[in-house]
Amino acid sequence: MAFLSDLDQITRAAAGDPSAVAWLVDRYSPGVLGLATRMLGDRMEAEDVTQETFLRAWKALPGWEPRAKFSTWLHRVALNLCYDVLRRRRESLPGELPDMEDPGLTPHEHLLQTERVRAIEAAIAALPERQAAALTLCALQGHSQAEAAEIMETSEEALESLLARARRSLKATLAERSVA
Amino acid sequence: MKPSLISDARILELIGAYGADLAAFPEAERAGAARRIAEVPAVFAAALEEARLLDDVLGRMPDVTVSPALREALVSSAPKAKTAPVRSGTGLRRFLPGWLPAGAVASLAMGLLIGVNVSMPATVATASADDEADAVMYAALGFGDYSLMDESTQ
Repeated sequence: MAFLSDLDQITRAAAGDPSAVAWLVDRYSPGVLGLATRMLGDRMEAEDVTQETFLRAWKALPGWEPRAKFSTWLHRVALNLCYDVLRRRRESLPGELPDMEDPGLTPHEHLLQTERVRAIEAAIAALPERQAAALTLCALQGHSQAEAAEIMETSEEALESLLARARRSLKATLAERSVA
Repeated sequence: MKPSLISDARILELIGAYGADLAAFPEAERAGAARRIAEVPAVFAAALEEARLLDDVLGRMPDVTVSPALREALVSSAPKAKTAPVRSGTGLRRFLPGWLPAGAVASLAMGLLIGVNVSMPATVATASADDEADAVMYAALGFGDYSLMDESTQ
């Protein structure tokens, strides 16, 4: 049903229907921003990735063919953009962890963002990128194994292996920092 | 009880990858794993407890919210609907192309220009034709050759 609904909204959005555009943004931007935020550990960069993801989506809409679910395609674009950011970051600042200070947050969000949350975000962002992606998609965003594997363009077996390694690394890191 | 077809080692792998919540397990293995864990809970208790700690940590992560400014930026970056030019015409005029009035004005201007330019030769040509018509008319009325009559008057 959601698939058909997506198609309908995509067709209307491609024709410039503002309500369909708003529908797609409201439905998918939280997931895309969440994925980018967890992957990058930086809200500003995550917002840039989200904007670029949607720009690419708008360009793709007129010729959209439903070979994959729109959400899968969108998350895949976002994930690849995150990989690009991480690659550039590694090239310019090898070994440096992302700055977890977040000037883009509201006072309420600052209140929620405790030291514990920051430590977990840092630990996730410090994971190898494909492990971080697998963990974010499955454990934090609730995607099924099939969806996450499709987004990451990998097999479900490989995804499971990434998840297991991610959880082991995260557990060890958090134990070191006495977060868990 | 139906024997479980999934091995204990496989269940431990699943817990290590997906955590303690059996709902997160792959659907095909979920029921078998649940049955086996219920059969021998002690075998999996430690692994489940360890996994549950990490699940709790991850579950406490706040949702990332999209700010109104970002939402506005995303919406405004979308393609806009192409607005058709407003046409006041009714009936068949609705189907005429929008450039038609401009074309009509251009045609009128061209027509006036050509008309002015050819008006002088046309006048001369018309005068000559009038003379010939007069000659034919006089001949028909029995006044003889127009040219002779013309000569006799001179």
